[in-house]
Amino acid sequence: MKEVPFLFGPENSLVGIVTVPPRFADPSVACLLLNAGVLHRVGPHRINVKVARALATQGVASIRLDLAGLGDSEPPRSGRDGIAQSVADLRAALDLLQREVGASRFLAIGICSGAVNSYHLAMADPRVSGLFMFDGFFFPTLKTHILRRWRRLTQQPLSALTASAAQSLVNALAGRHDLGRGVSAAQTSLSRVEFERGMNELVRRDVAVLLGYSGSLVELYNYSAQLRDAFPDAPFLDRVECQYLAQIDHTVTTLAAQREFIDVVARFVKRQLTALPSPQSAEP
Amino acid sequence: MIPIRFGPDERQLFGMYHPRDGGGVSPRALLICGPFGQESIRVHRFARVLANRLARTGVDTLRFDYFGSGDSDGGDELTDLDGWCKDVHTAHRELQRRSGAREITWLGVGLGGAAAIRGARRADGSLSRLVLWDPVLDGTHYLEALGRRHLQAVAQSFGTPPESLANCEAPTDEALGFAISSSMREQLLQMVPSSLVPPSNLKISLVADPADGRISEWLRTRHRTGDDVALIPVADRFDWMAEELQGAAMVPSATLAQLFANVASG
Repeated sequence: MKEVPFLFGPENSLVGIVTVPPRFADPSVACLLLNAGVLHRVGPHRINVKVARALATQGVASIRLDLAGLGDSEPPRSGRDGIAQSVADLRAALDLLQREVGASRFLAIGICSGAVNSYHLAMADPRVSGLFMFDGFFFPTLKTHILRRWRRLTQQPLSALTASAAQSLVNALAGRHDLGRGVSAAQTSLSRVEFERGMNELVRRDVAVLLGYSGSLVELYNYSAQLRDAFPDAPFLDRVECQYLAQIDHTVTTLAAQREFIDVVARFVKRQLTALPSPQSAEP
Repeated sequence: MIPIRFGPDERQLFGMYHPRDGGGVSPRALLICGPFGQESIRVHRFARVLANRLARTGVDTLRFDYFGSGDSDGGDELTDLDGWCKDVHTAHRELQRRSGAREITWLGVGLGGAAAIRGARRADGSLSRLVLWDPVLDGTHYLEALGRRHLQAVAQSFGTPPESLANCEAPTDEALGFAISSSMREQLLQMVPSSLVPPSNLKISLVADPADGRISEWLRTRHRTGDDVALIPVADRFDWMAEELQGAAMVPSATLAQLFANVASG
């Protein structure tokens, strides 16, 4: 395995590290590992580095990069808005991988804001053939709210059960809550309609999608079937994977959570390698 | 700013080299010896801003990741303090080669401060000064703090911690997302302020909290032996072990100004 740092992008102002496997499983496939929040390219607790090296043992190249203004990349000089700039930067990363390792199909792996950015990249660029979005978009249901209230009630001593807490439970049961606009952890939300439309488009294009949810944001996602309940009868539901990974926290703080996260990513990537006919494995 | 890889094949390191504006040979340069684990992620942006400012005033800077950290080779379970000292020397030579500087200052941050003090004993004459920012001087105390913060972070990170993590004691082989190797742990348990003895002729600036007992103990010992160590009360209380996503300040401006002034003035 070798790792090569690059300055890339139209002004050579973006920083990324390309991890090249000792032997390619499928040289046409490579992965993007996105920034999470304001953290630089190594990811929360260095998870992007660990994922990149695990993928390399599977024969898959990757890039971990800093979007403009994050980590070591220069601030953007274009007048683009946040999402548009992120998509432009990520497309530059796809171009780099295409040039350097010959990849033509890309899997984007994002945590939190990285999940949101990976979604927008996939919508904009047909080269993206797979997405793993971890704690990206949230659509709480009635059951989410009930479970949240129940959790709070059972965690409090009986004496702390106040009239306001009881009223909250009544409100939830009576349906007096906002189940409208979805929430993304990056505060760039999509409505349910927009999200469903986007997901339907992605599956129509045969983009493989895995949505993962941590055990951290229980206010927003707290049971396995939540996505299905949020989008009953939506066409995309049977074409995407969704995993409630309650043992993993949002920033993969423990080594055990990191191992599980890496395993989920590695298995997702491996499924994409076998999903389509691939050329014989090749030396880089 | 140039991303680089350097060092021996079996221990390749990653660094960001900030050549001075205008190029040419730099009379002075700075090597940033960063802290451990989550703290290194925490201080990443600070180090970049400091290095950029210094480059504009004519000081080349190299920030680097120790083996087993950041973008350098190796897993975090392979890292220890003895290895860090080797990496500091490797980075020093790389900075010397690139900058041509005859005087190099090491900025040791957190546990990087301990590595800098230990490494300084084998440095050549081009090491002109140490600046230490909140250095870790007592390894047992540091391990205990890491353990406490690890448990807090896990509790805060889960809505309800999984059964396997509830009511646990702090693990001894990991903290805040990073493995602690058995050799690192052993070296930290043996590290006390009196064991960190810099070369006697080296000028040292200590940017730290004067109320910290370990800092004042070390300072007293250094002064008793006639070492040139100046204490500069740190301007900001930097929460080293905070997660950035919790909104902790990434670049405390007063401390940035202190360190910039201290390094730039030579």
